[in-house]
Amino acid sequence: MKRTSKSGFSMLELVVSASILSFVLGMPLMIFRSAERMRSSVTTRGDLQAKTRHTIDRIAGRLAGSSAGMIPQSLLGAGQWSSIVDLQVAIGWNGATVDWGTPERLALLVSPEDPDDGVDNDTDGMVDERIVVWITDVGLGTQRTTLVRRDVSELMAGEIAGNGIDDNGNGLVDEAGLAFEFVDDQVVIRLSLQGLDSSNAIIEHTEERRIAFRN
Amino acid sequence: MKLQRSSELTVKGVGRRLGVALMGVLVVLSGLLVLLATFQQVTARRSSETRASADDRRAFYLAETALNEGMTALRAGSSGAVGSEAAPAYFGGGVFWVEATDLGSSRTRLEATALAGSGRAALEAVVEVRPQEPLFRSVLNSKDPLGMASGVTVDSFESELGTYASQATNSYSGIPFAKDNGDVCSNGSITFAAGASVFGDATPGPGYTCSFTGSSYVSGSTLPAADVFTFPVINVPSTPVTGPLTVPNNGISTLTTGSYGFSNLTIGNGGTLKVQGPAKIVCTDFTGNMYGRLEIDATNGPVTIYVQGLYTHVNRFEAVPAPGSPMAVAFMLSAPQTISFPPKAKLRGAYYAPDSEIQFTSDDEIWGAFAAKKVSMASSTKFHFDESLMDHWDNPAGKVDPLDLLVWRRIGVTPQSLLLDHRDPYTVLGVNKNALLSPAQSWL
Repeated sequence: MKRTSKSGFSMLELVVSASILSFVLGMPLMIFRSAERMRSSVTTRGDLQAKTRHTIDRIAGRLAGSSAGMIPQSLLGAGQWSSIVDLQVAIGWNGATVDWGTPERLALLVSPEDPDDGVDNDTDGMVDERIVVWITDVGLGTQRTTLVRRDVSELMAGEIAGNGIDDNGNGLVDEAGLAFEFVDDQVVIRLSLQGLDSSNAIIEHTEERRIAFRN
Repeated sequence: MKLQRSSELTVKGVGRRLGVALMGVLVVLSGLLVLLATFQQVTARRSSETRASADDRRAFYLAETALNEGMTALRAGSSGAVGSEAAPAYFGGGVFWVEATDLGSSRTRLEATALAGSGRAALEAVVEVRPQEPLFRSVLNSKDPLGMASGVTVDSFESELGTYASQATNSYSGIPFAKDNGDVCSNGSITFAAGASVFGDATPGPGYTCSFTGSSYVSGSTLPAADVFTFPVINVPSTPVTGPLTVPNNGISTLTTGSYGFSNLTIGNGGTLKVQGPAKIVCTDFTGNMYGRLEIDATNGPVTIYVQGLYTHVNRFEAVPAPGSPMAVAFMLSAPQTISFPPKAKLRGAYYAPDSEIQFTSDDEIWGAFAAKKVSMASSTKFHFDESLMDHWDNPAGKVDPLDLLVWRRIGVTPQSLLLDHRDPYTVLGVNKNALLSPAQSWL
């Protein structure tokens, strides 16, 4: 009996050693999780930035080949915005005038999976997100819609819906997550995308680019 | 049952535990390796996608640069072509070339192809080269309202094609004339006295009109100008002054091609000053005395005389062309004054006096162009606009980009093999990067 009692541990020793062990294992775990959250956040932001730029690249590529005169929304002028652009792109020169392509439209639409009802219908963690589509041959039998980008914010980052105030200070009031502003022969494209990091926190990224119509 | 010693139990137990730990470590390590490989693959793919996207964007910007280089070449009078697929221009870590096709009517199609990393892009533009606005666009051009006196006739000719007499082969109501580009312009209204005849356009300023008395005649348009003509400030070249230049009476002096600065320039009675163009002469006062001659040889370029002080034109002084030369001489008169040409004066060349009044007295005959604040004339003065003058002096105030972009668009990269080969541009094109020329050196 005496030998047995000497070879074991007291309850106090077990508790202390278990505490130390959980502390020693827990600290790296906490650090790891914190680092992982940070990595996830940075990765999400990086992805959002890349997606935003890529989307603006595509939109800018179409708009650059058009002309302010071929875009009805250009009459809105500075300080006004539209989330839809109807355009035609130059496809050649016939010796006297520019040949224009068939009508196209770039538009911000409500996502079919998440209707505009304030509820996260598609349970992706984001509410009422929008999509950007590119519609070619508008009004023709060959009309075709191509999805350009999902997860577009309903409103531009920093903007509060329907308060009639330029909350984010970019010169536009209550603008949507995709907004076109026409200034002389140029157009300013603003786009806000959103995504979730590993802790399901919503991250937004906004970019704007001003391009000149070449035609 | 055989009892083991406690020491054996301990050693065997430890051994078993060590084996389990080793297996555990191996499993964890394997898992980590798999994770690492996956992560590395994902990172590499993402990095590759990002690089490809960035290369595409760089190629696009490079193609825009290429188009601009082609346009710059066109503005400078080159064909617009820059480099070629076999010898592209090197710029900004990539290469490009521009093919130019002359479409006629001063139009050119530029097709730019650019390669940067794995990115490829091609753009097309059709541009039109517009001529610059000439400083001397009509025989008379005044800031103030212009009055055409009775019996005045205006027509045009080209001194580069020969004498006026050799070109005056037409006739209208008994009035001989050469060509019908003898325009008169004003930033105000234009009034025509009886018998004034203009073989050309009469263009009043925006919002103004032409008014006619009696049987005056204008062969062309009398519509007002869309814009006011901007009379530019005279930009006198900074030339060192070497003192006065006086051509002695009946003597001959010669100025060869170059720039000259004189305090005063005087051509004595019967003296002749021969000037070989291209030349720029800056002086304070200019005096052409009786029977003096200013002989202009503009075969290789025009002669411009900047007079910062007074211009004096004595009776029977004449500026004349050298045999076989066009009469490309212009007097730039910057000081406000009234320049009164004597009766029966024979005037050739161009006069630009934006702050002065020019008066033509009786029986003058003019082969040139005059732009001034105010122009007045005696009846029956004969004006013959020398169209050759339009080629030599541009209006800097009216200078706009001579290139008009008619259409711009993205086009497919050709040959298509360039799109399929994602290696660096130098390998793809088979060129030595270090031997490539800069864009400006690659103009064709």
